[in-house]
Amino acid sequence: MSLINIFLYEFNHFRKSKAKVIAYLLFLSTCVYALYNGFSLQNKQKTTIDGIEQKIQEGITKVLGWFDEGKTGPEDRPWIDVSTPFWALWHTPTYTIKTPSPLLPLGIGQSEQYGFYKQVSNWSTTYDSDMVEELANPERLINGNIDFAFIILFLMPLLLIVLTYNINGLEKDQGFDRLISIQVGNIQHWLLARSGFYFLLILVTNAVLILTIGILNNAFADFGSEMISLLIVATLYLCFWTIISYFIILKSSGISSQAFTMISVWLLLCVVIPGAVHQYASIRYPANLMTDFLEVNRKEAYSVFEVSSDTLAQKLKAIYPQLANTKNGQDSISDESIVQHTVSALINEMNKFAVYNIESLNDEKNQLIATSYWFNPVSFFQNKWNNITATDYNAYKKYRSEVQKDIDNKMELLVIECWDKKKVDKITYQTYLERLK
Amino acid sequence: MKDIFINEWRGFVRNQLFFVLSILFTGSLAVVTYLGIVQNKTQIEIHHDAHRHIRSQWDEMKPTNPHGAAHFGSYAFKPNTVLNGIDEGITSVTGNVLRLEGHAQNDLVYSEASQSLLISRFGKLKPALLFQFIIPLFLIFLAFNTYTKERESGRIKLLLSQGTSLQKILLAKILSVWMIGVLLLLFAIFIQIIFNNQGINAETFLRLFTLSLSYALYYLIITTLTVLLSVQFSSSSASLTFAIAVWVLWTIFLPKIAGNAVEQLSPLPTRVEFKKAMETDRSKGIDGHNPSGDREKELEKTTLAKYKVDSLSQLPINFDGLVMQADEEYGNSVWDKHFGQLYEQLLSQKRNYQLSGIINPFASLQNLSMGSAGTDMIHHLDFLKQAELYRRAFIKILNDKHAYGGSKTGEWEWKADNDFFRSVKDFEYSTTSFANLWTKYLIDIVVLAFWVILLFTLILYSSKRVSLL
Amino acid sequence: MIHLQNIQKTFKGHKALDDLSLEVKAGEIYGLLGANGAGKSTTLNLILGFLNPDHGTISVGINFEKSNKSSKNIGYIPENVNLYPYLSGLENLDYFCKLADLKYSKSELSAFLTECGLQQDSHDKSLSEYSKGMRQKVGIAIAYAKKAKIYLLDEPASGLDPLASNELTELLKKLASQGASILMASHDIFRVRESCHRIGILKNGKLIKEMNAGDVTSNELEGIYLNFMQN
Repeated sequence: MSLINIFLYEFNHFRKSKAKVIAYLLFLSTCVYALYNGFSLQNKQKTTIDGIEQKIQEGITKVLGWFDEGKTGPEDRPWIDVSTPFWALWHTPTYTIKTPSPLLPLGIGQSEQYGFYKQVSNWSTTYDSDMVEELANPERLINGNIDFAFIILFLMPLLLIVLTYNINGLEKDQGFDRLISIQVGNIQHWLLARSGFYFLLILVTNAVLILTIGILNNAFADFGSEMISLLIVATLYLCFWTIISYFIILKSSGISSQAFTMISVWLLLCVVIPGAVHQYASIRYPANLMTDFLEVNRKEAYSVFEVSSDTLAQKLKAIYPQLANTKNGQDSISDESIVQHTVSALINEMNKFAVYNIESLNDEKNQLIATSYWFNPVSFFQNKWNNITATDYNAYKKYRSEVQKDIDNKMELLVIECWDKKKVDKITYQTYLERLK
Repeated sequence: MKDIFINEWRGFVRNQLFFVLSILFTGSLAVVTYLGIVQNKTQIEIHHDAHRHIRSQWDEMKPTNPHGAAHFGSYAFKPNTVLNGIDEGITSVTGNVLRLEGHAQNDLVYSEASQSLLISRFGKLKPALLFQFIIPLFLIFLAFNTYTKERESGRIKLLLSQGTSLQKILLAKILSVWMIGVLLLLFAIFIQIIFNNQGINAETFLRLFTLSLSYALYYLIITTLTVLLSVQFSSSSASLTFAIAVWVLWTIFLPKIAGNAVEQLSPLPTRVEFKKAMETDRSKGIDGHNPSGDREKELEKTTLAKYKVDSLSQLPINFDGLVMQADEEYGNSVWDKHFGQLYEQLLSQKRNYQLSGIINPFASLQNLSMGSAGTDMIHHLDFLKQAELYRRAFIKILNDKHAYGGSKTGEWEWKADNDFFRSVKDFEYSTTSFANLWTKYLIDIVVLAFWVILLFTLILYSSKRVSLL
Repeated sequence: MIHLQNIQKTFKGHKALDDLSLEVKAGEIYGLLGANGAGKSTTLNLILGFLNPDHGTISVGINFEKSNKSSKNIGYIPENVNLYPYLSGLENLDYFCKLADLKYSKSELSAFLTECGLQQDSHDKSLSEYSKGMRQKVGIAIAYAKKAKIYLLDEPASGLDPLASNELTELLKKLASQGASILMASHDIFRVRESCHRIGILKNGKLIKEMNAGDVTSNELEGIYLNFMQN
């Protein structure tokens, strides 16, 4: 029997099986629903970002107004003086924002676990409590969202099971499997071709959906290679499951055992193995209560204020050698208030060190997870997918490093400008805005 | 019925595949339960260490201004419950550390889920995962052909010709399969009790009882439904396929759909909106550091009148402490309003989700499992409320010390001694007794019971209507 | 005694039994011959209470309605005795006896099996090791152990070797001699002729001929049967 004929007959099998057609349509509608969820999240994040940008603009307008009116700050807070670098920088809105990627509708990933905007102040760290995730129902979070990645990773294999669970099993149950093998000669080819029909059906479905989203979200312009990577990952993953189902079909002894084996393999690969790795990783690396970080944030930060101004000045000079050339740096006695205003730069350094340790520990845990990939393929594909859609731990780690870079920039500007005893006017303020944009 | 039950069991025991699977299950359950306990104990130790460490910093505080100490603040660590080893519920997605300080109510931060790459979408391999996903599938496997095999082999006529009734046969078959689930469940509970003996008290027993009851009811639902499908469908494969479809729908699909639906029914504000609304309300109040608002003037007037003096400098107390406390209290009322609404919204989502149990008993099971393990949202919100109550009491003690400790208005350099700081009580969270919370889970129990009754009615009805040929 | 009067049974418009009346007296073996779909199994299912007639009455010793209690007086042997493969012959017999609220000692159960032709050394073997004939004998033992007054047999000799078939005939005769009424549906003209006292031929749900087995030889019976079937 030619391949075309096998496909045509398989299409007939598919068409005449209400359960299979319903499962396929259900899969399609779930895809649409998942994409709607992804777009909703993307729009929600965009709206939030628009609101933040508006707030930034309002803050800037307010300060520029003070400069225009010759004021140094609000009337009810006389200690604020935006003509000094300290207060001018205090009132320079600095936000680090993780703009949602156009690929977000294709995979929400871990984005619900992290904040995506951060106001950078003199005392900011990358583990501040304002970097927490959006308000969400935690019970909904543990059930997870139906996003497109979930569909590809978990529901697509289930669809494949529904579509192929009775191939060969039906023939065995009805007792005409031997007749088939006599007729077709090579039963392996026949079964492979039948499985291939469903492989192609799902492959085309995935491709159409991914490409449609890419076009709708203008993702091809800047994320063309990522779109192709997603297509490749989806196809490889489909191949992986098709091979598994083919071997189960080949060894079938009837529909019941075949369906049960398929669902057991799904359970093993999608639930049990990732769950076991998760539990093992948790035992090896329990949830970090961040006491090292808290220590820096609280006790050590407070102890800085007990140190003499001169010592602090020396420490600051060690971090920023260029301070030696500033006005305060050249003065024989350091101005205590300038040192106090810039001491946050020291605490920033301490925080960076504590954060480095935390991130290293997290990286070790991620390393452990990565070593499980050879027997935990679903987690591999899952993290690969989230990596491409920029919604995994690493994408947010990168975001945190961007936040840290902005903190460092702000600190450097603060320290240099304060130590140089700059007088801030509207133009200087605008340069601050530009530098910390 | 007893004989049918015994015969079914004899069938299970003499089936090699069943035997192997049972050994595998029992072994896995023992290992998974034990590892759950180990992981939980490790986490509890870490929690204790962190708690002790933070407290020792407080206890070692040098003489400090009480308001400075309020900014120094403290941390509340969300403890793991004893039964977290069985079902960790929302633990991994919620934060674990809450900063307690003056002027501000912070969020719980540093969730475990944010500390690594995503691993499992269905949670860690803890007993709950086996109880919720795998044992039901095992029961389906045991029950899907329990009736069809009798019919397909023609044995059903022989059985009935012996004078027994179809109802009896079906009930005995349901009970025999169900009993396997229950035994596996009890085995895991037994391991939990044996290896976690330090944490087992009357409260934990009550929770374990509810947990076991929930799973026992759910297993009865799964088994009865599978047998019902076995009666209704003409072939074993059809009944198995349908039972697996129901399992996928209930376990994988509907919880996510229902979760999204309830969030859309009672939407939560975005964090920015929420923060802005709180800031707006807060700005109406007085600023602790910058006493210039109307409220502060009113407070000043009443305080001066109370002490019968003309100016703040004449006051025998430190007026700043009173202002800060008044500001705290105002802030607290703002918190109560906004977080009250937020929590109410979350609980409304929870209630709606609980109602989804009517179409998906797995939702009720999940709620009861997390609830009895003390790892659901109700317990989470309870922790947050208790931590906030502690924060209020903690800051009030510091503000009162600032006001009445011996300093005068404006003396920000005044310091309280170490004895005072040591005397401030530590935050000790105690999980609210399950007996006080059980009404919140009543709907889940009722829904599971409803399913049991519904399915038994259907199976009795079917047993009278079904064709025996 | 089995008494069927004017029984009518229709399946989806098709008359499976059409005004069927027959009687099997105490001590009598009645053989029901007919082609596939003639209504033999429907007749047995009606008597067993698995089906209800559209019209007519059935009495089995006492007035019989669809009640499982009444089936306690009936011994039934299906064409394929599919018993529990994981139990031994003895255990299967024990289980089925218990279902019928009958309590026998192991030796009594063993005696039933032996009486029904199953060798002693096979009693404790797993049923999965039994041949079809051996399983059939356990099925006969199940019916025999009930000491029923009514026996319904659906192709009981199917798959039995000639010796086992002969043993079955002897057993049935023994039961009949003890006063049992036996109704046996079969295709096997020779076995029916050998075992039964009276014979009825069913065609399209109608009892078209009844005769005493003693009045015809096997060859004559075959001729009569074929004649009816071809016309």
